[in-house]
Amino acid sequence: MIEIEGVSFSYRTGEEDAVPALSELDLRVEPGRFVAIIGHNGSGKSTLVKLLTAIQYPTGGTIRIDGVPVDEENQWEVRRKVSVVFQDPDDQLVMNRVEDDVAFGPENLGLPREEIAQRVESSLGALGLREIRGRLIEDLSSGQKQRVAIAGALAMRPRFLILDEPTSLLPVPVAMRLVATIRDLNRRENMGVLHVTHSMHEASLFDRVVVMEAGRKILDGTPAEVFRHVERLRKVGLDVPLAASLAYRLRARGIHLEGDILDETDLRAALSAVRSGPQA
Amino acid sequence: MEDSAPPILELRHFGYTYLEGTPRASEAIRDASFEIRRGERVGIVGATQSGKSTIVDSFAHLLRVKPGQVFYEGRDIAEPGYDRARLRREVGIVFQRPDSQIIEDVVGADVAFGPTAAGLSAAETRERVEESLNTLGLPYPEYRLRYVHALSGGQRRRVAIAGVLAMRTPVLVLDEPMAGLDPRGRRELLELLFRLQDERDLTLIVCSASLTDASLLCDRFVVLDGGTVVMDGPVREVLREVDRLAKLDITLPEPVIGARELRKLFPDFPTDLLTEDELEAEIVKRIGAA
Ligand SMILES: Nc1ncnc2c1ncn2[C@@H]1O[C@H](COP(=O)(O)OP(=O)(O)OP(=O)(O)O)[C@@H](O)[C@H]1O
Ligand SMILES: Nc1ncnc2c1ncn2[C@@H]1O[C@H](COP(=O)(O)OP(=O)(O)OP(=O)(O)O)[C@@H](O)[C@H]1O
Ligand SMILES: [Mg+2]
Ligand SMILES: [Mg+2]
Repeated sequence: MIEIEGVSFSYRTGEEDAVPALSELDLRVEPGRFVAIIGHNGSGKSTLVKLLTAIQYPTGGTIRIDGVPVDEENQWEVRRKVSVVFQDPDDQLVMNRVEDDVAFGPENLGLPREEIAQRVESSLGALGLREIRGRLIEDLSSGQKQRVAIAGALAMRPRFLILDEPTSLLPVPVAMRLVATIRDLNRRENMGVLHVTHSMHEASLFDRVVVMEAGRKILDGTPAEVFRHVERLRKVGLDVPLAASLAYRLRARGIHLEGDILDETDLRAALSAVRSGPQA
Repeated sequence: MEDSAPPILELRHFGYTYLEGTPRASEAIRDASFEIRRGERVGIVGATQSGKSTIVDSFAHLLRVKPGQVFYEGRDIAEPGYDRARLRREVGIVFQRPDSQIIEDVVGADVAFGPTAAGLSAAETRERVEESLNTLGLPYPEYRLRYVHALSGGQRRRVAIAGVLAMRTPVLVLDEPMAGLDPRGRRELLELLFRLQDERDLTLIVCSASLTDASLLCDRFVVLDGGTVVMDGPVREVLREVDRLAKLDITLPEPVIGARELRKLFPDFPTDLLTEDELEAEIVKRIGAA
């Protein structure tokens, strides 16, 4: 379980030019949950990721992961529990070949050779990378590189996988395949996932959406609950998925649409009911 | 009406192979030919690895381009003695990785770099820096002295774009400009680019794996697949071939995705839709306002 209680963080604390990045944030994520985080540029998402992976420490409040306080003393234990993948895979792929890169993390944990081999094998399999295990990373496509980065994170057998905009350089169909893969891992391994994205449609595929604004959490709920707040989200620089926005507009015209509408399929179903309904 | 001036940019049978002559040679672009006229707005679109950034790099003079393939205002840029400084002054490029073009540590100085290098006065430079930062949602007084590396990802992207805009080049090339921007940032950048097109005779080239914003910004799409040009035409014409586009692993415009789904309900539903308004109008036409 991730427990964030009253957490504040400033870059350059105490200096005249201190930058407050998080203020009094409360957030709990139970094991195995599938959570999206959205928020405007500079709202504190990446800062939160840094705090969860013990790269920075809160200037106020506490964070615990499975009961372990996230502080300098426990940083290595924390990093075993939480793995992170960033937007640009080139920033985190360190080895030349796919399988060496996936083995890099577990090797640094000093695990026995057998254990490493077994973890590499299963991570490569989970991301569909077995066939290209011997390839040079620089020859891969961005989607493939992103998979290698995730395989590396996975080989750490984390309790939580944190993804900071892993899809922002990928076209939607490739991003959708990646999210499906992560979903699958989340279910199979009961691994919690926190996924930062600027795509409202992508966020709507998660069980829960957390919305950040200027270092605070302003909304938190299921996609249907969160994306009901059309005006509020727009005011803080965000949006809702196109289908949700259309439903909002059509309803404002007095057209009655049943149910929660988050994607095109929902919209088609609701419109289909409208069409076959009244004039019958 | 025939335009007798040479196209502003032209590729003639352009081909490019990375690491040519080595065992790891990889052919990125094959036999690509198209011209871009002054004032045109062209989207160069295609899946990842389809060769978009290779084309950008050829304009930027970052590749060893073979003679006779890449022309700016009718002049071969691979010609010996070609005036590269002029190319740099006239073709502003926002590269795919913003960090690769951040030159100075401090935001204000970074945005000022281009105008200063182009020989503008201090006063003029300052004015442009202020305007560029303000329009990109980074208020000048608040951000000018911030360190670039101490900004969020989307804020760094905005600085990179501001730096290129401050040069006010007649040609603007944007490689995945929207990546990492929040929805408001995207909308504001769109509006800014519309405004620039209105105010000046800007030639705009947008490279992206996403047709969403490119379809609003551009009049014409050049579609790449595996390094070759597979479609080239007006945006709406290209969007009408939605089933062909859907096979390319690119991001279709959201209204087009919606329209494609609604075709299952209304077989005559058009797919060459650019905006939410157009999509809404087509729906209302079919179900009638309540
Ligand atoms: N290393 C740093 N030093 C000082 N300030 C920083 C640093 N990194 C980020 N900031 C500031 O902290 C705030 C939060 O930044 P953060 O990177 O967490 O935002 P974000 O939500 O991830 O944004 P984006 O969507 O642009 O990635 C911003 O105001 C940013 O300018
Ligand atoms: N520096 C390089 N060395 C070797 N091969 C390269 C290099 N840069 C690109 N390539 C290869 O050239 C091809 C085209 O790549 P390019 O970056 O132009 O595509 P792109 O359409 O911009 O893709 P993306 O959407 O991922 O940015 C790819 O097969 C890529 O692997
Ligand atoms: Mg970030
Ligand atoms: Mg590219």
